[in-house]
Amino acid sequence: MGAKGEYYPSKLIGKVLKIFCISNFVFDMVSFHRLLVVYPWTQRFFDSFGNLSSPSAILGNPKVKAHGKKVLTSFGDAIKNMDNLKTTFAKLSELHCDKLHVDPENFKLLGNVLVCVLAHHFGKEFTPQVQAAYQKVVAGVANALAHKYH
Amino acid sequence: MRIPGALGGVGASEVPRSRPPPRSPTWSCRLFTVYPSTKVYFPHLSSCQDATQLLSHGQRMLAAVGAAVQHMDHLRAALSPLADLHALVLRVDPANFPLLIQCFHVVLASHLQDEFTVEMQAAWDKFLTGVAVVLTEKYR
Repeated sequence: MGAKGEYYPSKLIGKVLKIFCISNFVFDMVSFHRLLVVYPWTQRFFDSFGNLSSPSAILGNPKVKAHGKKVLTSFGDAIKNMDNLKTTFAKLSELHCDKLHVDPENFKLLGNVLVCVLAHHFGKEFTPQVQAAYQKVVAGVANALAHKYH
Repeated sequence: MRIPGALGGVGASEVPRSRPPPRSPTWSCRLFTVYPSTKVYFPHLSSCQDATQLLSHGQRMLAAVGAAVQHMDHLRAALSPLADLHALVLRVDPANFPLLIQCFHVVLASHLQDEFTVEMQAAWDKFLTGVAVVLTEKYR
């Protein structure tokens, strides 16, 4: 990451950060819902969430919505701390390894789904350059979350 | 129409047929921009400035995807020549196919927006992953 943000163009990041902060935009729900439907094996970590038997059940599930919000808040933290991702996510990394036992591969899946949701929202504005920036961000988050695995 | 056998069943109705595909150079240029390491397989196409060559390459890839959609019930037979090409000549590392699939999803999402439902994404992901499996089956 350069001082001028050549890896993470700051204007693009700022635009999306605004979107993340818009409380009535459902990035959180949409991304997490999409993960559970497109990659159904990711549901294995959410046995306690109740009914996940269909896309509409997942969409209407309040625990999915709540968890989606939590996950997206973390991505918001990532955008604010891009120079320090490993430290920012150190405790979360330990939690996912030691308590939650999540395969780090899942972090990449969620990152890719989030990028698709952004593309869906921004349409033609989601140029290759914007996608490249965001793929780097989500890859950075995935690496940071996997960093404390042992 | 369903994807049979080892690829499992999928609702092929979610795989869009009526809309024209996104413009082909977009897909190739996006792949090279987002995942620059993929350019190693295309030294003659490394610049996104050369629209003609990118268009030609993108059209070939989309035509192959289109052919695969038309022969969804017998993918191995339909893609056998391409599988030979990938195994014996191109030898693209299998890790690159998910990168191409991600770019395909992003182009569909930005082009189709609300039409790109979760069901459609799931169907396309399953289908394209199946295509990638067939294309790399003869590697060893």
